[in-house]
Amino acid sequence: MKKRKIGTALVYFICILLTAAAFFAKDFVLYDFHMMPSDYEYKETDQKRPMQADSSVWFTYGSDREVQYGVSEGISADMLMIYAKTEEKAVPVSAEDLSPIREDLIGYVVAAAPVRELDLDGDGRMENVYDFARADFGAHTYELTPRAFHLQEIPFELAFEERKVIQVFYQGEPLVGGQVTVTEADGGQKVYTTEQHGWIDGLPIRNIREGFTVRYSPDGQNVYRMYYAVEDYAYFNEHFFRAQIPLLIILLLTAVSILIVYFVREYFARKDPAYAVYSRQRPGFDIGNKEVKGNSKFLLIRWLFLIFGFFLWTYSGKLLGQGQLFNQVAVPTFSCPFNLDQPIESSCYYLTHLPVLFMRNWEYVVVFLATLVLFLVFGGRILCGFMCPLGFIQDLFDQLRRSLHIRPIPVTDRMNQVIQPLKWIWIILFLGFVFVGGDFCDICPNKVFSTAMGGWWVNYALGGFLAVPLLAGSFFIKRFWCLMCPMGYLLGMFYKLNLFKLKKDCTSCMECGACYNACPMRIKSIYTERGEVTPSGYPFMRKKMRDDKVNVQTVDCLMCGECIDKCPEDKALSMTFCGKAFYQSSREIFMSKFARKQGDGKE
Amino acid sequence: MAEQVRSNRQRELFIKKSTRVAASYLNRAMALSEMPDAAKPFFGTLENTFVNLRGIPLCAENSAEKRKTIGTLCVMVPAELVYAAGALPVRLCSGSYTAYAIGDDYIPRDACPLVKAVMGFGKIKALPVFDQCSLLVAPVTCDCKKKLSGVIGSVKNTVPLHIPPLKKEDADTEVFLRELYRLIPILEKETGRQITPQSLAEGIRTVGEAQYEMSEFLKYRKHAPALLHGTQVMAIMNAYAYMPADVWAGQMHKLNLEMKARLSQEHFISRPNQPRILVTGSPISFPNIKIPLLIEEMGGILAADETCMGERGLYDPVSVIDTSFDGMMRALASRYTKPCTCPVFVDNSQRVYRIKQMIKEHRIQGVVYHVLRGCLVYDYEYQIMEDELGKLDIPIIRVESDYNEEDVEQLRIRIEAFIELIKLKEYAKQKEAISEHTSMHKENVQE
Repeated sequence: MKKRKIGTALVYFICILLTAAAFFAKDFVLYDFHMMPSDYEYKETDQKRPMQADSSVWFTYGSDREVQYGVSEGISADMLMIYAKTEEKAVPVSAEDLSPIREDLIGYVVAAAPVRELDLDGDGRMENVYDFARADFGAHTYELTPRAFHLQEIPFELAFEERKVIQVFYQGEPLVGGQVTVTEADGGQKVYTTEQHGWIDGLPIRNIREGFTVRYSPDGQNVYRMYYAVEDYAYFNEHFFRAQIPLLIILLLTAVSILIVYFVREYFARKDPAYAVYSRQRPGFDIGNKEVKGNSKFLLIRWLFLIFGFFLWTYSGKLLGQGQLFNQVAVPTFSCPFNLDQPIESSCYYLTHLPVLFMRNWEYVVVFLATLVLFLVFGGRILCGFMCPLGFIQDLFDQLRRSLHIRPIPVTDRMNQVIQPLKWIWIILFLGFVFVGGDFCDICPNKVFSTAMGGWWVNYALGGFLAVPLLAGSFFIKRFWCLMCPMGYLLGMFYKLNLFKLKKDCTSCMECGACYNACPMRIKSIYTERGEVTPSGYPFMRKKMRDDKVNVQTVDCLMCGECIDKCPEDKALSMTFCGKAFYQSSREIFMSKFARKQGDGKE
Repeated sequence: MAEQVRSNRQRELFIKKSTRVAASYLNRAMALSEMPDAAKPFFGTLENTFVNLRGIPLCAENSAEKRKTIGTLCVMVPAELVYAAGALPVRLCSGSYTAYAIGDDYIPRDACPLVKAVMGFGKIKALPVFDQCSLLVAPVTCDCKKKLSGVIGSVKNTVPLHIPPLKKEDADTEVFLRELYRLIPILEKETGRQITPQSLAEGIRTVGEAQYEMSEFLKYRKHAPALLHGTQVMAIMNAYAYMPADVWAGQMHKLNLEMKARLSQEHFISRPNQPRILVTGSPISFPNIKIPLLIEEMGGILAADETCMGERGLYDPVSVIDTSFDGMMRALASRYTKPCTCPVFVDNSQRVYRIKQMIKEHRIQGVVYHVLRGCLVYDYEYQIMEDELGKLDIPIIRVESDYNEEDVEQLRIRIEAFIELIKLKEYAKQKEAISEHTSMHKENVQE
């Protein structure tokens, strides 16, 4: 009892501390990449012209925050006109403004080569060739500033919009239905017709990262060419590895905290009379005791789904070369949308920045909300169990602990009750922090995983530090974060409407508690539920009838299937989709792991 | 000196009488029609233990190492731990009428006969299985067992094992977990071998193997018409108490193969209309198997049992969640309390559910509720069982018995009447169905 009181006090203290710290979140800097455009160095390149540069001027990026421009023969660097963008407007800049780069510039630069007369199509007639090159560098965040310059000096320009498409402008207006020739990143040329917003739809997003050229000739006499490359990197180059530094710091801190927790626990456990026995099992690495392992195919499938989800929300955008496929569709999982390589983004950015959501056009808002509601109502927390990248990382840490033979911290039902206030604080901060001028992203402990792992340079504030207890916690407690995840709570709220359900056949249950022991969310009702009518005292609230097949889902249920895997009773627990069971507990499968191996010699 | 002579005479008398009773019950159980060949080794074990008065072979098949045996009483002592310590667990809950008579002198009159029989064996020192045990782990369950674990300490090295009377809260499981951790050094001191994570996993696997064969066997037992007599099943389950789990599992495997063959040949030992009866209540331990015997001799089929010397001890498997040592211990603590339907737990509503489940699965038509004289905890639960089964329209009869043969005739009449009742009920049901069918037929004809 005394212990519990201390625990409750501690949790409230943490809650208050968290709320207080949230307001100063920006001051707790874990790692800062110094991503201001003014930190970049602007200079001429010594590399030769890349093959995708169809233009006579181009930009490349050096490894150490360098923006390099190159010009083909016949043009000297002084003949280039440079334009750059500030927060408000686009301005012409001189060489002095760029060395070093002026403070108020935001990292969008266009270089224009002088008009030349060249015979590009080889028909013997000279055309007027307007060559431009464009570079976007600096912070990779959600930019609401328009990217297009709309300057008279730049009649033809390209802009990377909506984190997905290239928009073509001609004389300040979106070019609709124009035939443009694109020299893609691999050097091949292809003709595209621009769509109604001036978008070159279907152009793989890979090009924007590696550089490409768009050529447009409105009348055959004038030819406009623009080379465009957003600052980017391939996987496993220096940029990518530098992005891992904050992650490494966090992992290091996590390792230290795990060791601290381990030894503190050992120290206090010495008073435990049982210590002499269980301390015999020293940590050591091995892949786990196969004798007592489960053998469920379902759990394997879940692992595959989790790995798939992790790759989907971390790497797939770049690997598939598509970037965002469904721009307005948002899936409520905890995968940081600061990583722009997500084919489908996570809805957490707009949920934590509700005012920003309503700054977008109404179509966007409607589609966003509709998909969100669809996932909330019909999907539910099965997303947590099967798709959440953060869940995957937590499960990895749990597996690591298992293979190290370190005993877990058992979450008792009391402990679970005690940590509930933490969940509420997270929910309040998640939805409401933006209204008091805060930014949830600064305290979000998940930000580092999707971004750093995906090679994105994002700065980490308090959230980076909070990732340490998250990881260390999930090492000792399976799915530790899920116990207090605000997104998960929102997902679970409509569990009664979900298409996926966890049902229990109360006549088959022996109340052995294996499901409860296996449940990472410590849902106790799963084994105590008996489908009895509970008279509530209110006639309208009385349950209609006694039902043997009871939905034992709660707002916490992750649909991870661990309970079904550990259930030794036939069809006592089943996971259903639209009322059809697709995964059921089976005594035969459960017992078969004890079956004597064939050729054991004991026959 | 005279004392010595007297006790020797008493011993001889005891041996003569107890072996005679055991042999007669064994013969009666074996005489039930069509005993499977693979069941013979189980009866052999019982014969060795109770008739030939031999101990358990202490050497495993392929090793010369002598194992120790640890006596246990209720189903709450984890056999896995005993196997992990390199010893053999032996269930000493006894049904001996002669030992009961001796124990009567040491235990109050109103205590249950099982406790008296255990005490009797402790005093007379004539049963090698009992005397082999170097340690007795006695769970503190019902009042009788609680006091027994104190009293029997005078004749046997005994460790009482505290069982929490509640089991739903995490704290209760935690209490039992502490208790199991306390048991480990005691077992290790006794056997001289350490319980390591590997040996514990091996212990879980050993018992799990027996449970696997048991679960396979239950599939055949559920079959109606029956493939073998329930009394013989009771004997087989009793034999588990005196056999190493792996040996038992090996024999069980053979029995399962024979059952499979019987099923494919449609070789049934009962007629389709023989009443299928479930026995529940106080432990039925060999040689006190008069109730199963009476049921089957009177024309019923003992299709299932919910007793702790029967299915219960092997039904629930250990569900290991975490493979660390602590994880395995937690799994054991959870398995030996939470699913246990022993009425010593305060809230035991799950026993009703278990019996309902068995009625459904085994197609039970009547329930015999066995109460040993003085077994209060089971008697308490009769009322709720009667109410619940009344709702299902399953007849139930409360049968109180003692460890002697004087009440056999009375029991015979009651059980016979009960079986007749079930038959009549079935007959009435069939008649109703037929008349409904014919009336429907008539209506169809009229149309």
